[in-house]
Amino acid sequence: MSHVFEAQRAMRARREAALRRGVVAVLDIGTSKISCLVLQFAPGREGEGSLPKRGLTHGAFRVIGAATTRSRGVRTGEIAAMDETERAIRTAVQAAQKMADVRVDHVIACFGGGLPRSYGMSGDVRVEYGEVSEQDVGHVLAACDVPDYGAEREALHAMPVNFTLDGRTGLNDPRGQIGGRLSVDMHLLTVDAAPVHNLLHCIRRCDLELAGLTVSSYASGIAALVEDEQELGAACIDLGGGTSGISIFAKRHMIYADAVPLGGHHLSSDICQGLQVSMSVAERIKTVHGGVMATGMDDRDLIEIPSPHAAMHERVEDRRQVSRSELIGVMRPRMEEILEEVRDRLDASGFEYLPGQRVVLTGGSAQVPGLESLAQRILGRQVRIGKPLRVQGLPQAATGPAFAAAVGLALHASHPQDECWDFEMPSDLIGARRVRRALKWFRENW
Amino acid sequence: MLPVKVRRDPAPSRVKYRLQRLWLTPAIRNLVRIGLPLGALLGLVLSIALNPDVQAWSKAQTAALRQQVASHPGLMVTNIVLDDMSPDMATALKDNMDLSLPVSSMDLDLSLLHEKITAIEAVAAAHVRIEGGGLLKISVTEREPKVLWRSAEGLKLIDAEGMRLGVIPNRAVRPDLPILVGEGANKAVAEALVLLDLAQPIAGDIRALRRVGARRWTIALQDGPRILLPEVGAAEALARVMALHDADDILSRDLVAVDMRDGRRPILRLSADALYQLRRARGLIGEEDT
Repeated sequence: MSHVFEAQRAMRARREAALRRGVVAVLDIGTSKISCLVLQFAPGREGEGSLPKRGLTHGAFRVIGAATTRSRGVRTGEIAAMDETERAIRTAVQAAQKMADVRVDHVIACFGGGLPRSYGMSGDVRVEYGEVSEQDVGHVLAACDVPDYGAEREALHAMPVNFTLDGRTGLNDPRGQIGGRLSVDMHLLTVDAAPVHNLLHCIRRCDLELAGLTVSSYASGIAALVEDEQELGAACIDLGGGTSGISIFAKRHMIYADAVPLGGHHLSSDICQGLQVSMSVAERIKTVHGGVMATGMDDRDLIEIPSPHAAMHERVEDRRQVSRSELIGVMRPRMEEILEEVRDRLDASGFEYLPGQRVVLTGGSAQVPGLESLAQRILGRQVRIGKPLRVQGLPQAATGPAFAAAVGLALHASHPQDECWDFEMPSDLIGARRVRRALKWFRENW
Repeated sequence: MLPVKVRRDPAPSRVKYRLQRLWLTPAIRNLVRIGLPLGALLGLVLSIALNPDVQAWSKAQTAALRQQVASHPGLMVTNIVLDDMSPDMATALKDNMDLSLPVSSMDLDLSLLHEKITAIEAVAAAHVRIEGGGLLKISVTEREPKVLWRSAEGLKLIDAEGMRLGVIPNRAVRPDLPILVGEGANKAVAEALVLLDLAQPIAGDIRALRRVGARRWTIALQDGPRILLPEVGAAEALARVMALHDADDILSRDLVAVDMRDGRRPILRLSADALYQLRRARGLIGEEDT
């Protein structure tokens, strides 16, 4: 199975190199916007009394550069026009670099497309020496039977979610414990290979190196869910421009991820068609006056709509007025459709069996007023709108729900969760074991 | 549908992007920000410094400044004080130094002066220093003549190291000094002095020490034999001669030479008359032979 993860290992090595330099950029490539944060890591600024470092933790970081630009050439989270996307990435990276006054070479990126699909895997192995060592963990991870997810898909995450040792389950880290049988539950997330390759190529064309790649629903989940929700189980729904990502967390691990190819852009295009206005006007009306819950007040609330001819000859009779309830009547069915789709995916995932049933909406389209109660009605669960966690140095403009993925990516860069490829696989050890045996023979005989 | 106003794309061109990244590279940035101005400044300074006009101007300027300082009355040397020395030496010094007083102490090259003074033959060591109040103090250790060397050029005064100190017209000027004769005698003055010291009891009789063939000494006595000394061990040989003289008074005998060149025995050469008398006394020659 290790050959699958070679690319991931290379990326991990690059991420370590970047973190050693202390500067890394995170890049959220969305359908409607591309945002870039430049992070500066300050090792040794952690308090003395804090928990000991475990795994790839890098502790405190600070956002020293942030930039957002209109996304170009991205459709449903996938790159559709390479040149335009490259230019958009260049714009964002350049502005963030300029603000940070430092050059970044490594980026950690996330994207929403590629039809993410989750697989649950489990493996089972005998513990070799009674005490579970790092090697045993590698063995058990290697023992997982990989489902046939197709040749044109790539594994993006493979996280050991749960370890079981002799009937005791729910272990986070079995290393050092005594037991006989070790088994693991692993969450494997795959996406289409073509968008990933396009993204890789695009980032390489910007003279940057990709040091990590995640799906944006995972990143927004990290940022938008508070610790209790991550522990007890919650779903994060990232309502983006072109896609709506779903990620389900339990025991501080992502256990399921999916995406619906519907998003805020469909709302705008509905307004564009329903009210006979241009796309940019529709976008503006949506952000300024939009809503999904109509009240009596909204019938009297008239919205002035600029005429499409206004630019040429301004005539008063060309002006139109639309009541807000009309606008809501256009937006609401689409929003209901998105939420119903999300609900279907949540039901398919087995979310109802988790102890926590909280749903957190985040992403740019989650800012529509009244969405909370609509979602509550459709999803049938407690719903809140989640803003990303506050991180040091983040500008005020980048603290809204739209930046959940970017902030989550920053958190992910500073505290990455164990992935399957962080452990040494037995197949990697064959050569090393041979050398070790030769050395042992030498030591005994000389 | 009306033509929509095309929004300006704010994306930087690839060249601009790369340039900005280059500019954010610390090495390049430091080079441009610090290295370039420094280099320009260095070039400017060098081009000014290497300009011949500027060089000439600065040279003149420094010379004027130096002149101004050197002419300060506190730095002028007005008097020469010669520590106690013979009048001959004093005149020789004054002739050699050719100083025109008053002179600034900054213009005075004391080491050159010292060299000039020590170049005088009769000076063994000299001490030159400037004292306060415009005094130049010179103290000199004079060489002491130990012997006279008579050579083709005349009578020369020689000190213990063989240095020529001067020429005297005749012996009467320095009757106290012994005379050396012969080629290369000045190079063995030290040995000659040792010999003269050994020959103290007969000092009044010694006419001269002759260097023979620039390798060995012969002592010529007034009304007495010549003492031929070997090349090596001349002092021991002379000591033997003096012992013989003490014991047997041989130098008062009628001898032509006492030859000590053979280390095994002294060889005495009698005068013809003495030889005759000896033979006759031994009965080797009859009365009738004469």
